Amino acid sequence: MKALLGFLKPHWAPALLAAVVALVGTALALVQPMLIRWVVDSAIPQHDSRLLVIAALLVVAVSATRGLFTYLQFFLMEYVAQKVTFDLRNRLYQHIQKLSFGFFDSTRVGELMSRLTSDVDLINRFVGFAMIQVGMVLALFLGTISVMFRLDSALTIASLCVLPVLLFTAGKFGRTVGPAFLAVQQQMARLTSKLQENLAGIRVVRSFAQEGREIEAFRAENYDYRDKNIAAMRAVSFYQGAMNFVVAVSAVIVLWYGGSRVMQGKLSLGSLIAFNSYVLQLMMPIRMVGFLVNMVQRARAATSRVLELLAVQPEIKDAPDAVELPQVRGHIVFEHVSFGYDPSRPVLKDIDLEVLPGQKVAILGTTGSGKTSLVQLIPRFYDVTSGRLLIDGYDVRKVKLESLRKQIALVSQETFLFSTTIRENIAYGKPDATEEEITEAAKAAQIHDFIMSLPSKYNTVIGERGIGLSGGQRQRVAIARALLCKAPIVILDEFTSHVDTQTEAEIQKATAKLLERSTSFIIAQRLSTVKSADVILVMEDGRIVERGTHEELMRLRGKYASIYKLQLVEGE
Amino acid sequence: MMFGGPGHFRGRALIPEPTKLDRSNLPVLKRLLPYAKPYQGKLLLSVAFLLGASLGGVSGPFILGFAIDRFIRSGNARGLALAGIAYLLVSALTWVFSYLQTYLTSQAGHSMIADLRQDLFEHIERLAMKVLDEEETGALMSRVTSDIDSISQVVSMGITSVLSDIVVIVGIVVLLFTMNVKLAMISVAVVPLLAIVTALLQGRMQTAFHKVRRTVAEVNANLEETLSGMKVIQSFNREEDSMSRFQEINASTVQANLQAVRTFAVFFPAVDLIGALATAGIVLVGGNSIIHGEIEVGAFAAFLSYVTRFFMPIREISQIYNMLLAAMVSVQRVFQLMDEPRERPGGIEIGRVKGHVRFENVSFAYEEGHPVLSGISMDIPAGQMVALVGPTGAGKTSIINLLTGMYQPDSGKITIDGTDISRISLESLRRNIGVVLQDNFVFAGTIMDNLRYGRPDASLAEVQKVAEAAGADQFISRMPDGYMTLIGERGAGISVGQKQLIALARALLIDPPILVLDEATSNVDPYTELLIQQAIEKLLGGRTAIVIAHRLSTVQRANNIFVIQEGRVVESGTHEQLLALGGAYRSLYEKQFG
Repeated sequence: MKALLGFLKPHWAPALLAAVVALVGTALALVQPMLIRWVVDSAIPQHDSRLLVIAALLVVAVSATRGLFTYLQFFLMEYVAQKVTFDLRNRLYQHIQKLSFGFFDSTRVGELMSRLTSDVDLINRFVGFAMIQVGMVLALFLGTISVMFRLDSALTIASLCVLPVLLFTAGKFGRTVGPAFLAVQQQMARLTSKLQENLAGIRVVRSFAQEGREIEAFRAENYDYRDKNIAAMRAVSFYQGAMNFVVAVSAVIVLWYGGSRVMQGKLSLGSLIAFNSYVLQLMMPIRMVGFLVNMVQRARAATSRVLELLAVQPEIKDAPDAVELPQVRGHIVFEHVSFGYDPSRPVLKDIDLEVLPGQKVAILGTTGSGKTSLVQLIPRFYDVTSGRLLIDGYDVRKVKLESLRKQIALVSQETFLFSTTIRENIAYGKPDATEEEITEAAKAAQIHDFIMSLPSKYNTVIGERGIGLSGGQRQRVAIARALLCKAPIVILDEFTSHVDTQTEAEIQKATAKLLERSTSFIIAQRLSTVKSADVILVMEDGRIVERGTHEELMRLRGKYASIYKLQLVEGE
Repeated sequence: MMFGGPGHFRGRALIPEPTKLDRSNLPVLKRLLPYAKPYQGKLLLSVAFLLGASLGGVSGPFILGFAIDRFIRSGNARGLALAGIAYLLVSALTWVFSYLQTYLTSQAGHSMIADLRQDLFEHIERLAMKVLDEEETGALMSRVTSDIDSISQVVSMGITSVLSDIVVIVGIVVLLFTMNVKLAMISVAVVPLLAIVTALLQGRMQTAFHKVRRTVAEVNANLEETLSGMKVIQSFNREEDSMSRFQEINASTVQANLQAVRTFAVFFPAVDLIGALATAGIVLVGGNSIIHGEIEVGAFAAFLSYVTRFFMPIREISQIYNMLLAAMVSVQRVFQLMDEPRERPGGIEIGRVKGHVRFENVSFAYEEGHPVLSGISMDIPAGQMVALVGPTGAGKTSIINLLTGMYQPDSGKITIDGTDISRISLESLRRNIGVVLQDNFVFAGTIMDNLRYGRPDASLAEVQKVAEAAGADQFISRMPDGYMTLIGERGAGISVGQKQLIALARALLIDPPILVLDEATSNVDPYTELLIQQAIEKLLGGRTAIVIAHRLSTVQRANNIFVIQEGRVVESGTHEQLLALGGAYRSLYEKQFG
């Protein structure tokens, strides 16, 4: 709760103003029934038409003033709520950007999305609606009751005796209906993901002729969704009806008991009519109490989730005494490096490796042997568990992250492109690249001809809102993106797995030229890619088991030689 | 350069949201009627309850006025008591009626909608592949979710609300005119005023909220993309740019919201003011009428309280009008999709085939005028392993699409064991073909569920056996929960290569006489690949296998190799024959091993 109010702090002035405005508006709501009372009790018995004119004008004037205040209140609260939302979203986004790879490995995008959207919305609604509404209900309540007591305290007490019942029903309403609608939403989410899965996997569904089973599975979710909807509507109509009934009981008390008091001369007719209005005016907002309570609870839960995310410390960040890494030559040393995503299950074990500037290193090994982990330590996507990693003599943990990553270009196994133009995607690492640089990189990646065959060429938008690229095409755009950086260190992780052999050979030829002066790491499955490397590493179970040039390794007659032979001999 | 598959220029123009009612769309609503039919009894009953509930709801002020004039002012205590009891009874009945009405309506409405959604899903599940390739997943999703929801709103709330609103308005007007014609005229005078203001502001609010929704969608799209690509953003040091881009979009939603609230905040004060005008008129005219003895105080009080009750139903009608507009478009979109062709139904049931596959002069195009396959002829005897090689976009995957009946050839025919596959039911055709695709989809669930996908009743031993054969058993047993490990959305938590192994095991489990591997092991390391190949060979035993691969090492052992280029078979033969031929195959081979 305190944290929730903390979000408001920077905008306290408009928030306070909104509260004052709301209070005045509420006070004005108390005037009209009194005017009617005055009409009935004074103006009409005095047979004075002029008084009626005054009363009519007052009714309009009060309403106009109140309207002005209502307008201001709505606007101010929305203003504050939007400012809070804006700040909070930016803060969250900025925070998430600083978190490390390890965090993204273990957190789903959907989860982060819901922190930044639905949780922030819940807080928004609390600030923009629930908070002021709670205040107004309280103010209206106190104001109305004090006016009613002045009119007739006995009737006030009698008509308000239903209040506990109303509050109870309203509370029950909020507690029942809130969760019922939450269940509806959750079921919708399940339905949606079932649907999404079916659409994305439709080829698999059909290949295995499982349409019937999928339809039945969807039917179960679909009709469950229907039942949850009906249950929610049932709860709504029952409790809403109940609350209306309780309010009606109160009106009956006013009519009956108030009417008798008029007959006894203890109450004027105008007061009775005013009383009736007050009771109705009072009961209406109280019916919302349940909703408000629910809203406040959900906003509190949302706040704690948001704070939890904000409290996550980035595992990898600049050390306080981090220095700028100067332009490197690309001399890389792994010293007794061990690493595990989970420290108790090491993926890399005591790696020792020295790579000289300009060397081309190829890494081979079975799935899960630690190839990708090894190269991901270089841009410090993860920190070593023990040992150290030096680039040109600098420990990567002691230099500024930006200055380190700026000097490393990377093509990773799963290609991610942004849904924007091809040009922007290729120039992603160097937004100020010239036309020539972009074309040069695209040509080297063997994607230029394809791009030129598209209707808008380099300005073609790709992704969700544009055209779809095949796996191989995406990979080649990613290669162009990395090549464009002209970084002293280049990492290519299975960069041609979706490209056909011929294209691959061409990419290799072209990239070789661009990589001439860079230190490069290449993870590959195809031996043709590997053969020409200066150093070949064969990895197994987190260790480098063989290293050397193609010839050296062939002579060794170890793992490398046997794979190579197997691949070749097959055909002969 | 060619495109690697079908449907690269996707996305159809969405039907835009209209701002006024287009009568020509009305016939499409008729298609909803069959869905209402099973629930017509419930719907009729709910209308009856609705009449009761609405009339009960408007009787309060009348009873109050009546009691003041007839009983309180004349000191009739018994009459007053009776009025109180009547009021209580009417209120209780209103509660019961409105409860029953809502319950029945929502039951009928939501059932109708669930039926419609189910039909739509079943339709999508059997939709022709061509349509699926052309439509974006998101667009199809929104048919089943948001379009159906917007229809649902109108069906389960809208229609009855409109009825009840009309009953309320008519009821009040009749009551007022029976009490006093002059005052009734004054009260009713506000109705058109309210209607105009509501319609005007509602229209502007609609536009403003539309803009809000659009900016919110932009925020979501931006988040979805940048959060999924956060690793790339960090790798390329682009955090600041993406931050400022996000701030920009974030600020635009703030602007849109503030703009919307400016219109929205006018609404209630305006309505309130109109109400106040009517109240003032009644105070003035009604007050004078009392002075002249034309009307009594109680009726006067009743008028005052009725005059503010026109607003709710009018506003609701205007909201529902807008809902109806949106729903009309949704109905159109839903039935437009319903009208798209399905996969061909029926065909003869075949048992287990031997696996003799023949392509006879098969031509095919996804789009007219852009042939992908031209005159493909291949004979694949049962039990043989053949390989298809060729550059990306040559048409290899299209061949598989035709064989599995995802698409139909434009000319020529494909036979299995001599039977034209276009005569075979798709289900029994596909039961005979196990496919491992390039991009394998793994379902959210346990690894076990995924392996058993094609045969949910397979025993643990059977599953383990194929997993071992596919080389998947090793990594699976190292997972925290072994075969029961949950793999997430899109198979998160396992590598691309591991996904391929699971897909392979999944296909082997159904024990198909024909096995198709489309780049099935492209992300697996050569060593593992070799193991898999050896295992598959053992498992093949009599199966026909069609293998597409970039790595020639995979291809070499095939009984026959077809080299595909630009939609034609340009060479075929064994590895040795093709090498000796010195053509396209040889140059590919030299590139890889030279």
